Amino acid sequence: MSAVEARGIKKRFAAFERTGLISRRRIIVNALTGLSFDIGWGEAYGLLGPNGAGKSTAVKILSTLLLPDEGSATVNGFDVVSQPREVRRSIGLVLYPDKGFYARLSGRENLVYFGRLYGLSKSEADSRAAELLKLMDLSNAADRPYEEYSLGMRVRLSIARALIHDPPVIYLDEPTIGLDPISSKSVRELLMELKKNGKAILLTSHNLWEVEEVCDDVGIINGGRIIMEGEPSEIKARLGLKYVIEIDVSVGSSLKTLRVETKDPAVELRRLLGEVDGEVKGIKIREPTLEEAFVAAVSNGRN
Amino acid sequence: MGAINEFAAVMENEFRIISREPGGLALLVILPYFVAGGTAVIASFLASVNRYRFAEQFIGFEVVMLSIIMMQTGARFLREERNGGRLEYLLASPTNMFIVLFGTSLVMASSIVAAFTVSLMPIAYGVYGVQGMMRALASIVLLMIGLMPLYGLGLALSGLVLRFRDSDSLMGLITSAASLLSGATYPMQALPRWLGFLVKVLPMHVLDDALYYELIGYLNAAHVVYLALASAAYLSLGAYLYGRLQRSLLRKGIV
Repeated sequence: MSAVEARGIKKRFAAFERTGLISRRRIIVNALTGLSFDIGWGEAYGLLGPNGAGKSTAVKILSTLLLPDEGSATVNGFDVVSQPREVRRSIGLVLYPDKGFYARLSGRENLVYFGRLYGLSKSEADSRAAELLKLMDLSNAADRPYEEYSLGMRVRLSIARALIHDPPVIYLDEPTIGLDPISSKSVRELLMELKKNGKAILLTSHNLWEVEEVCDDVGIINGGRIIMEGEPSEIKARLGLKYVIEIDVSVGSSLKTLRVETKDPAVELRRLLGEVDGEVKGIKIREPTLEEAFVAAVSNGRN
Repeated sequence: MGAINEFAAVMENEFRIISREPGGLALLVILPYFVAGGTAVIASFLASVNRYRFAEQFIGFEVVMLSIIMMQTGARFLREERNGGRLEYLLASPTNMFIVLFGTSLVMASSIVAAFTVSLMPIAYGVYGVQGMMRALASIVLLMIGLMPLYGLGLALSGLVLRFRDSDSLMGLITSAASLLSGATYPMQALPRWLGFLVKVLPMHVLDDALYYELIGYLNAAHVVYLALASAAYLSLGAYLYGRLQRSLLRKGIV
């Protein structure tokens, strides 16, 4: 059984377009047009897509905040439509990392409150909150009001809330937005640790290198459906993205750089080294990035 | 046990938030005197003042105020949660929203019932002596029952606020209409028959009557039965409408 299974989810929204001072026209927006993907236990799945592609709609359906028009989805084996309470118990959610808390309550009070809403007793919520505040490096600010927290602290508190009831599945929508590099790194390390502990993670982020570092599988969503899916390296290979090989060669007293783009770096490097006439001073091989893959996939989709 | 723990958490949290609002705690403490003073002044303007009439008018205005507060409390809570980005987290938690709404409203209800009782007791003593004061104290139970139908109406209003983003004007309109139709601050005989019927269907008029008759020592069992039935009917209606509107929100999505 997968941790999360989405099968052919469709979602349409009715919206209104102004056509005059008073008059308006009803339009239908197809937010999801048959979304399917799986997340296994101990895996992180990166959902990538341009703005308006349907990422948030997908996350909301999987968190029972929206009902799908068609298709089905299960989380931890529970159906999102017919067993919403069980699904909610199974997930930890980071939707808006920088808000969603009571401004005048302290970080600890906020965590304890949400913990109790997830069925923890007061003492369980207290000890779990203390544990998470320590993990998120917020112990020193635990009793300060949330309104005094910096953006980075708010994000960390939001992640702590998602973990308060120790859920088996975690959704994170742009969790490192606004974080400094050290905090971002610690969040990534935490996500890797959670994966190791068997949790399933659904991550959306605009930091594609971050997705590449954390996620085992990536789904590129556009127009409400997955247009490409697989391991980051697979996606790059499938799109035929080229590696760049740079060889610094010393010929006499001058230093020349040979630069070649190739899909097969091992073969090409061997060939180049055989042909080089001079002393090789350095070799650099630059892999195509997930960002390039994303741009290529979305551009292909649009074309 | 789970639901009790969740309910306790919601109430505790609400008390904590009120106590941290600037002046919130102070307001809670002075609220009874504020309510008593304010309504006494209004009542003395609008009624030909003898002490019995004054006490009757006083209860009428209190009922109108409590009704407005009770009907709006859930809706206001949801609006604040949405504006603060907390609504989705509450909806995504396994705690039933009825528990959240009832917990927050009960905190408000307790505060306003306390305010009502504290402000009524000196008047009851002044007009009907020690016995009147004791009966005013006993009216707490009656008031709690009488506020339930209004909470039912408040649930329906909460559903509207949840479902429609720009529902402030609608909320204002409904609460204004409800307070005009309270039948608590004017003689019912002045109304056309059809409007009188509407007023009698709404719970405010009977609550006002019940509180007044309790104060003067002539509480009729019919009042209590009516309030209990109205509680069941309005709470069921409110819960049904709220459930429908929340379901509709889950189809439409939170904007």
